[in-house]
Amino acid sequence: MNKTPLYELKDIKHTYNRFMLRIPELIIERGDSIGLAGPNGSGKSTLMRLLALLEEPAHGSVAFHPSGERKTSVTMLQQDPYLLKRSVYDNVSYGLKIRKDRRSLRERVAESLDLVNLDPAKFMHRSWYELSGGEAQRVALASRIILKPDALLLDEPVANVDTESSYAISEAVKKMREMHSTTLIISSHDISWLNNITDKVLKLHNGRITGAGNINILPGPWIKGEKGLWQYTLPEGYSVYATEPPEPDSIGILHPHEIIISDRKVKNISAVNKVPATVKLMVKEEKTGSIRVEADASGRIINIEITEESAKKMQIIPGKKIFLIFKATSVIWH
Amino acid sequence: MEYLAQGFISAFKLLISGDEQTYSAVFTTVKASSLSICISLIIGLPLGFILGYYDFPCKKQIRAVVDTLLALPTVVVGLLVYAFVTKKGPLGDYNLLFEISGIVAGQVILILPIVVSLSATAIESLDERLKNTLITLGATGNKIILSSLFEARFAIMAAAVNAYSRAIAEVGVSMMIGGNIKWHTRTITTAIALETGKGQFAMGIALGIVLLCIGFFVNWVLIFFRKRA
Amino acid sequence: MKKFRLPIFLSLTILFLISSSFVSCTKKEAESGKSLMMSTTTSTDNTGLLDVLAPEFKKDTGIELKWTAVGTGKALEMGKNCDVDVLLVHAPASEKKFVDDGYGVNRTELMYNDFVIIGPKSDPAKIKGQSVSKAMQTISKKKARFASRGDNSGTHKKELTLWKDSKVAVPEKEEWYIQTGQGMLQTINIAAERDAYTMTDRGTYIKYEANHKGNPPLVIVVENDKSLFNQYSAIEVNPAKCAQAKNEFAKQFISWMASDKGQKMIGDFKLMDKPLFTPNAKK
Repeated sequence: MNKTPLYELKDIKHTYNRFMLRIPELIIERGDSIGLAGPNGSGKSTLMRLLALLEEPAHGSVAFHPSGERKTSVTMLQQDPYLLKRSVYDNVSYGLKIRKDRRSLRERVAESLDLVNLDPAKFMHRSWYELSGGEAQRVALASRIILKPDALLLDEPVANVDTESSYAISEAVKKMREMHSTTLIISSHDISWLNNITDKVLKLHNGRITGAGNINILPGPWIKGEKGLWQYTLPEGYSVYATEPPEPDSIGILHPHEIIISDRKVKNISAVNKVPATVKLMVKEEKTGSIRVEADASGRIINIEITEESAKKMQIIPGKKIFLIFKATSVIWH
Repeated sequence: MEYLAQGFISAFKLLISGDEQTYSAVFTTVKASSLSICISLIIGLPLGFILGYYDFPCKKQIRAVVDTLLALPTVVVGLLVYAFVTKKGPLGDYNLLFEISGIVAGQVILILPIVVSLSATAIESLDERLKNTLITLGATGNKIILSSLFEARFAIMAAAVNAYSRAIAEVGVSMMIGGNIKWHTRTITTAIALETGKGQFAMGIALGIVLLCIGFFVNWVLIFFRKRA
Repeated sequence: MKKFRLPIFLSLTILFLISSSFVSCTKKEAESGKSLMMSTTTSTDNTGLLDVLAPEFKKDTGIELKWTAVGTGKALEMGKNCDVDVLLVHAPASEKKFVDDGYGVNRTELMYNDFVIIGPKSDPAKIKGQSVSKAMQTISKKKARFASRGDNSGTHKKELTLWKDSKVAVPEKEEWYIQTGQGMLQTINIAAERDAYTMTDRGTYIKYEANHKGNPPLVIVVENDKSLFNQYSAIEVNPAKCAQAKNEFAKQFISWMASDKGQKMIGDFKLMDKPLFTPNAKK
């Protein structure tokens, strides 16, 4: 079993639009399933392009150690469904034909189509313009998974497709991991979906990886307030307080476990932040057994972790109005 | 006005009766323009591809020149080529004057800008995502170029049809270089010019309709290959 | 089946191209290698005389006569450029210069037809039946509209000679002088539209008349004046200046045209049942 990591990114500095992608170090092991989350413009697509070897970083290195040929061991699926102007069969078999790998071509194409839940008998001979957006995206995915790549990269794969296709794509991707231990790197702005599909979700903001998991990002702007504290005003007006940031454009990070949920406004606590919020979503994390709560705090979605017992005790259900309590010092800086 | 109706009837008669002179002109036209389009495609497609695909200094200026050449009057091209192929000219020894080969040379010069410009546009109109898709599926170097060309095939075919139509319909080059010699270099268009000059308007119309039939036949065949671009 | 469309289409096209070039190749071969390239004028070609003579010439000599019909000026140019082997034109002054300058040899007069001056039936300038010089002078004096070829063709040069011989300055910039720069028939049509006079070869007029079913808007007003004669001559392109010229064949052509048989055929030629040429090769 090959122990070297699949990807080793070092000291990446790469400009895109007006931002710079800055990644001091990123290691992705074989068989990992990583999600990249962040708003538009956070650098997800650029990072994907570097990982897909479509571009070389302006500064720094992307070391890729596949088991086979370098160029053909990583493949990326783009956001908008895009197919070659050919039949479904020709699209899916394109990659293999290039490699002159024609053994049982027909069967393998049918297999890939099955994997994305498209009936080969119905779809094999359709032309590119005879497919819906979701079907096209599934064919595009089929044409990549047929290559059995070491790394499968998906850039917002379900952003522009219908629910049925979205489900088919998710299932296909999971199966690839099961059957071939394919390393998955998936970017999306839908954090819930990412959490479902991947093991670890990296958060990106302004070109930097600010952390993993369900950390909350408080980007600012942070302005100097009273009592030596700095404040950040949430979209709907409530303010959050923290200690002085090292740099004016630093990003604030708040771990879910630093937050205490209360169902009533508590007094006499040293914590300065008591943000009112409404519970939006509650998900039981299979891996940890705890419950992730997504709450709308004055216009910003904040993740909190609580145990099942606490949830039952406080009768936390979606729609309930709660308070998020945390210290100013809980906000750490990136 | 009479000659229009006369023309239609004559066209029908000419084609059905297998009139020798007419069919000779048809074959000459088809032979010359088919050779012209083949040569122009062989030279022009790679040039057009380079112009559309790559970035290089003066690209815009070169494109402007090519696009201007699209409007070359056929007689001007005829004059230019004549200067070269006349016996006293640099290419005089190659016996191009008064031969189909000379007409082909002139027509190639005429339609090459069309092929280059339109195929450059075809390549430029390719979706940006194409290249990434090809690369991510494993294509490299030449394969990317060939596959890109294939993706642009509909627009390129349209360019070829356009160029072919221009070659079939031109008079200036055929007349000046071919000389309108009966049985040898009389094309449909030079025959039309001749008949019109003699005042035989009906015949001119008839031959014009024959020309349109050729054009229609070519386009009809291509219908089978026309898909949504 | 869809898969095979492209290969089928390509093979059909290639087959077609091959067969069409094959067809013309065999046609050429059947006509064997002996050919003679001639430049002549559009009006000569338009009479149809060559279409009658060429097959006979081929039968008798085995030489295929190929000709291109252009304006007189261009016909002579082609001779100078060695693009043709023999000329058949009708512009004596230019021909003589051509020979004097060394481009042509053995100028041989073969036949003549004539020009006529035509004008509106109403004859506004009243020149009907006058001699050529009188008529030209009258037209100039009365500023009657006159259409000219204006294209340096043999016909045009003839017209200029008429003005000169009538002692009238060529009315270059006059308003009533219309220079069409086009072929004979077009010029006649323009003259008809403008109610103008013009000078044309009889052959073209015969055709024009026939086009209008015998009742044309312009009729002959002046004819049979000696100065209206249109002399046709053939000239060999000088082999000394043009090494590749097929001089032997050119000689054969000219002697055939001047032979009894050739001359008889020229004389017997009829356009719309009307004789057009008078053979006059010197014995």
